[in-house]
Amino acid sequence: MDGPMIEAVENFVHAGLPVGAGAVLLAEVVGHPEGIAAEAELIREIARSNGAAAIRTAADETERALLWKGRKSAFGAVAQAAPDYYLNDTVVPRTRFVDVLNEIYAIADRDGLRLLNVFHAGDGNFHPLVSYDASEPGMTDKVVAASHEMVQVAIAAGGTLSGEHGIGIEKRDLMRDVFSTDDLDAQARVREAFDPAGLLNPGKVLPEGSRCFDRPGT
Amino acid sequence: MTTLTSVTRKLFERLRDETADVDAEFAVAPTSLEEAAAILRAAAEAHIPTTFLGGGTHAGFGSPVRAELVITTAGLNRIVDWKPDDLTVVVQAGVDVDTLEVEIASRDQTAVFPE
Repeated sequence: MDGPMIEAVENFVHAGLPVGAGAVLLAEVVGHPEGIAAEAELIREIARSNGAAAIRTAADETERALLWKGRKSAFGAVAQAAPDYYLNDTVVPRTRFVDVLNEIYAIADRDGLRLLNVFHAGDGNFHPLVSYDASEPGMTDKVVAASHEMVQVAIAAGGTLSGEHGIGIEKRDLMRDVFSTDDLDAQARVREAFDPAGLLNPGKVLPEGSRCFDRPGT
Repeated sequence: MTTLTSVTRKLFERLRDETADVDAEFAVAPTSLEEAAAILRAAAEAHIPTTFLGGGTHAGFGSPVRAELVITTAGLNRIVDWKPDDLTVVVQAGVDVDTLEVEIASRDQTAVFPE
């Protein structure tokens, strides 16, 4: 959870999260009590050696549940900032995480947008969340354009178009940022083999013009 | 790439001419992505029914295929780029799963979903 998200979540859940901190990393260990004590200590050591400002270990089930409630309430908590949010899904190589984060903050600052972030960062998933008010004229277009730029930053860092949410119509036309003309043509050919007349969800799966050759035999 | 495609195309034409009177099946084993792409491109242009063969461990799955050309992935067996800290590995299509798993197990990683 990054700083703005900590503030929103804490205001909502009152879990004693460190408001003002740059970020909170939530780690959970699972297993035999003896084993997890050693694992938890290892995590604390790694946190200390990386300059963690504070380390908190849940003392009991109630406290553990409260910390998780903070994490799980994040998307509800952002409603305090503004009535709408636009969440994007991408994934980046873990070693590039901090660079990419700084670049997307710069995009949000440039456009005067409010960014609140909560990720499962351990696997490189990267979900920039822009909080905004869709009733402001032109705001949605501005947010979508900035969010697409954030996706392009992730791709440039060696990431890809979607971490786990999929492509859909939303990112259909961004497929050209990661797939070559040949790639898209091959995908279109497979699709065409099953749907030669183009009756199944026409225009939905691949960007327009993916097919770049004439159909064999015609 | 273009040269490779035209060489492959000529090769296919020759093989077809020489085997015109028999029911022949060819197998090719590209050793680079460029070769594989050139072969596939030439096969598509010549309308040659084509299939792929890896280790053949799942060869009984699905409908039987009648292909004139078999592209084996045996020559595409390189682990191209493994970045353990990023949890990413790029491999060629013919990498043997066990080989890959042994290699990356040295950093307690796995790349294969259990079946």
